[in-house]
Amino acid sequence: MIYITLICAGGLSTSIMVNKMKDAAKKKNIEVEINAMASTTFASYKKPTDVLLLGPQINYLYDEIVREYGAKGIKISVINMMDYGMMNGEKVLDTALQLLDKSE
Amino acid sequence: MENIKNKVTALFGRISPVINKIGENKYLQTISTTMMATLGPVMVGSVAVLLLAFPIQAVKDFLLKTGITPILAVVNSVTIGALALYVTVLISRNLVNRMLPDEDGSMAGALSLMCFLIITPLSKTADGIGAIPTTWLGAQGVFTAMIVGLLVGRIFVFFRQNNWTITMPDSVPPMVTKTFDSLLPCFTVGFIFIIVNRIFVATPFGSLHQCIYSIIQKPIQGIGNTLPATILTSFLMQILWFFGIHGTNIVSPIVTPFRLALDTENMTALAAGLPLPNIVGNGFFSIVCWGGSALGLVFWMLRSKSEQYRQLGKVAFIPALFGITEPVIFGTPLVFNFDFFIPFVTNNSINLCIAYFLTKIGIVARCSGVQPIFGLPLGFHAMVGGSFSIILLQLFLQLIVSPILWYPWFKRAEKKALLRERQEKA
Repeated sequence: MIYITLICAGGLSTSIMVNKMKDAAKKKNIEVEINAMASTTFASYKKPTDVLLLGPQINYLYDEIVREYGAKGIKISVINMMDYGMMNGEKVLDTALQLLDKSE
Repeated sequence: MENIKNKVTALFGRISPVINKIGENKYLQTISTTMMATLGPVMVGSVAVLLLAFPIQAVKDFLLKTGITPILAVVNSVTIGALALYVTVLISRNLVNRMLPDEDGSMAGALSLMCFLIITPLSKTADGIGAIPTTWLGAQGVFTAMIVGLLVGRIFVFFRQNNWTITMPDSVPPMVTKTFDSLLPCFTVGFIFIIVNRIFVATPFGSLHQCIYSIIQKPIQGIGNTLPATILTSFLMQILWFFGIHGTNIVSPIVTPFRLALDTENMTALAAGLPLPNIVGNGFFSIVCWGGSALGLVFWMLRSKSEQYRQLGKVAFIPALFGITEPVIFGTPLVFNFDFFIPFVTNNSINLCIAYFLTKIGIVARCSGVQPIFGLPLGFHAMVGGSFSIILLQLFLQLIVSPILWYPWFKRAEKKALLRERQEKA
């Protein structure tokens, strides 16, 4: 199982993206668990995270997030603006999976 | 034009580290999480206020006859009327929690409450019973509550980080050691606030509360209640959004405490049946600037001749009806797109002017101060305003004004998009 977590300001717009990504994963038969939440709640999030994706609107938090979680083996990336805008779940899912491939 | 674009982009490169600094600022983040965490009691109190001031007389009579009205008034006093108490506990707890991940922060929260009460003047009721006046527990004490909470939390962290504890021999059980660990910061903080309180009692202000309220909170609140200040904040937020940054998130922690205090004043007046003192507040701002006023643009996209825009319109329409406009912001994109710079940055400000004016002359009622819930659909989002006229205002701004304001810019961009699409096909 691969765990992907999306964070943005309130966890609302990322939750739309989560649904699109889940659809894409189902089509490709990939076993993933994807969740969205506010950036502030991630610190107390108990479930595992393999890939952490930031909504482009909070890319200003990228450095801080990498500092805090990068060392824990979580792959961190900011979602591409256009993919986010078009809610292209397939592409964002692919990017997330590629991040994992690279590390292995 | 190209020159200006390069300059703006270069300028952004220079200010972006500053924005990162603000966004990462622990204290501002703490304020932001705290304000969100007070939502529970604030919501309960808001329902009480809305019922107390229900626009239908029959409902009001019923509540009065059944004896519910006094109960609602009490609910209001212990929630919104005691906002400062919640703020002071939570802010200290959250700061410690953020700075020391291993610490749950509840000790610091309790300490902060203690210090807040130390500086709050006591009095007596007519029957001679000791009492804490509610004066400083509500809107007027919010800012002091924040300062006390941040200070106490910070001192607590300082003690922990420097390992200033009473060292116990190894044979002492860990539970006991833990209690002693907290003794030193507890006594130090308590001592500091007892002294601070004594000093301020001796000043003409009479209390730290009065001093902070008169010198900091009241003047800034006064400025915050004006149209220019409101426009300025919307302007800043939108400029940040133009650079792809969640502007609302960056600016909110700075302005929310003051706006919330304005809202609280309105709610208190409403519960007491008095005229509402303020036009501007958090509620007003989010009802007027709902979804960044971007819904109008999505409308045009839905019916666009451009393939790209029509596609985006379909994706963005439903979220936009719920005030979630990230798809249209990043999909158009409006970010770093100079074709849409002017409407993207100024539409909210124009809406604010219209709304302020309509409220000022009395066509639209003043907002109740109840906090709208983000994510509710258009119109429903404005219901907490407490008046039908406010719902109409939101519909008018989003369904009529916003499409008009976007139209000329959209047409220009659409032409470009069509040209591009034709060339790609050829």
